[in-house]
Amino acid sequence: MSLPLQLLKPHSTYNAQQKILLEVKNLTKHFPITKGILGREVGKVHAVEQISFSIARGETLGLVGESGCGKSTTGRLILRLIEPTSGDIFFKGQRINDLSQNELRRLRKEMQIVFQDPMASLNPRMTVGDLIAEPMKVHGINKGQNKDNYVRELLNAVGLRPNHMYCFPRELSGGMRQRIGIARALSLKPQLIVADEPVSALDVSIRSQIINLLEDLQEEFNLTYLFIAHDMSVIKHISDRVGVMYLGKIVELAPKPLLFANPQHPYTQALLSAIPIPTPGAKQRPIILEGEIPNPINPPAGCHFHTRCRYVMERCRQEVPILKEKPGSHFVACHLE
Amino acid sequence: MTKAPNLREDVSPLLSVQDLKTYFRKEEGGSVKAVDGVSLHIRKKEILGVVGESGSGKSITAMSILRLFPSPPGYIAGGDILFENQSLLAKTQKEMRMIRGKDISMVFQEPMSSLNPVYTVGYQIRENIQLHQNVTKKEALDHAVDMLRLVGIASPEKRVHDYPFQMSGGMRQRVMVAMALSCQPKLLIADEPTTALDVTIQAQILRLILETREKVGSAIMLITHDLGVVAEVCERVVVMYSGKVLEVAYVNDLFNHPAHPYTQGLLQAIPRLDDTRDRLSIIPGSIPNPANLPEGCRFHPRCQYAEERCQTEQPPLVSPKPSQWVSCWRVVGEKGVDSDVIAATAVKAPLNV
Repeated sequence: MSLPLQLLKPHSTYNAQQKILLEVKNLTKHFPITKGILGREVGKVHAVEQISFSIARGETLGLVGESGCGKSTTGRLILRLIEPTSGDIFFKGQRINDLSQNELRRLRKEMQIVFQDPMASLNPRMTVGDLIAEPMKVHGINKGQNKDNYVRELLNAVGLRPNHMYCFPRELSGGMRQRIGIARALSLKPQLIVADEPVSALDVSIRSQIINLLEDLQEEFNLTYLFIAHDMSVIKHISDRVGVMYLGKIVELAPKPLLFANPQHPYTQALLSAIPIPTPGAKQRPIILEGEIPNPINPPAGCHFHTRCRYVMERCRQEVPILKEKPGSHFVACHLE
Repeated sequence: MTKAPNLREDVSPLLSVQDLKTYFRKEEGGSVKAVDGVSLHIRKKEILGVVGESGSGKSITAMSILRLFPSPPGYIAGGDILFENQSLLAKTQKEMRMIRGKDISMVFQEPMSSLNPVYTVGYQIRENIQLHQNVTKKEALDHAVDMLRLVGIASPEKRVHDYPFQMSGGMRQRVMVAMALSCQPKLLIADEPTTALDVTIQAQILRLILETREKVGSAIMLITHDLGVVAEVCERVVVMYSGKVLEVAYVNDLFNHPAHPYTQGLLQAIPRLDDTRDRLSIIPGSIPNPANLPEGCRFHPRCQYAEERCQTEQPPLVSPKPSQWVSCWRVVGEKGVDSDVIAATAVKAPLNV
């Protein structure tokens, strides 16, 4: 399959010298909408539209956007928890789209996910020890005494005590539960962790604990993160590079310092401006976007953002902007120059 | 009351909550002290922020004002709530119904679960108007359309006949605001009104709430966990933790000179867009379980300054300087306040802020 050159750029140039762990090319996911007993397809939700990016080893790529922008779908597509409609996913250079379930299971040892709501992702009838050991059981590693020792090590690594092994999730606080979700993901010594809103459900005073923990673990185990969040402040703190998504597309992708110092896409600008800053009187004139995010079943023609953009031109209504590189590996999909 | 200067004595508070205790009975005996001696007040047209994490009692305080908490098991174990100098706790259920939606109204976090899915939004706004005002159905519906226009819903004549499921989250929250403001309440309680919304929509709703205060003249009690929202919108702030008020201050003082170790820790722990730190500072430990509260100061297990006294005795709310109230033994110690005076002022203290 031949790809348009411009779509290949975001990964090929930026990471030319670095070791790429994960690469995604023109990834697309449409969810069909069916009707009637025959399941006739009457439309589709354009959840993810032709996105391309890559993540280098040890890097944290932040993926940010509002609800329905496709950021979580992207995370699930990468782990093949859902199947892509089209596009390619390469993990350590290997295309993983067509791997069988067996091969995939082996691969999943190396790529794990941490979910938003630890209460919903932990079985309430299992003890913490069993929960953390479950992935090892599935993969048949670390049996017997060995396993218990390893579970204790993991508990220690995520800042819990060994005797937490015998607790049930309901006996623990939200922050502790998220630590267990992280320990589970770590237990198979993965290389890539997709963290899908890992701190959004946590209280403010607990969030910083988990963010620091994720950073420590990254250093200790040389982890690579795809960090998905809607909170720009969190994304700014943890990421090396940031991709901004809107309605299934990446509209801007840049190294963190560039993105925050010099946001190029009007949506990124508005998103940054909309975030309340905890300093009274800090903000002068926020850009408040009018209207709402269009329905992804029927996204607007041309640039998906044109219905809310301050700078909209005639061209934006017809022509889809492509992600173009600007100096400093700064990619922007906008017709404005 | 001698220690606190009356900054704005001329303005009597619209609402004052005095040493409120709202407890929940447990099946196995005993009570959960969800709100445990909370005092705060709101002036006319003021925007008061109430900040706290889960379990701080901020929502139960609001529910207590409107008597909307589940009872049983909930009950008011002490204190009083005065609205325009009348005790709300002394009112009957019927009298409360006439106050809710008219004098005091509320906007909740999740608009989908607080709108009735089987009635049109127009019907639901009209219902409130007709309950409190002597108007015909037609007049009420016209007023509902006006309210929808006020909150920025396009073609309100059409949307008034929509059902909640036909609207987006942001629009539903606008409908909630329209409904809450339809009888021009003196006080609007907004409980995490933007938490379920996206940031660009949050910005719209916050602007809407500020604009409607100008147009309708309501005081606003904004309950939130987001310090950014507080800094941008509120004039004065009450910081709650584990059923207690830890600090009360004007918004500038709170952010520039936080006095309580919890407020200080919280402000340092949040990741901010405008900071360049490599590492966030943290508040260790977790929020206490309301069914199993620590002795003494509720924050002491997580406090870096905790001393012996903090473990056994609850600090009173004292005023280290005009218009700022803090509940911390360190502040008490610095001021060398006589404990009897403290006990007397603590109950009604924040009234004078």
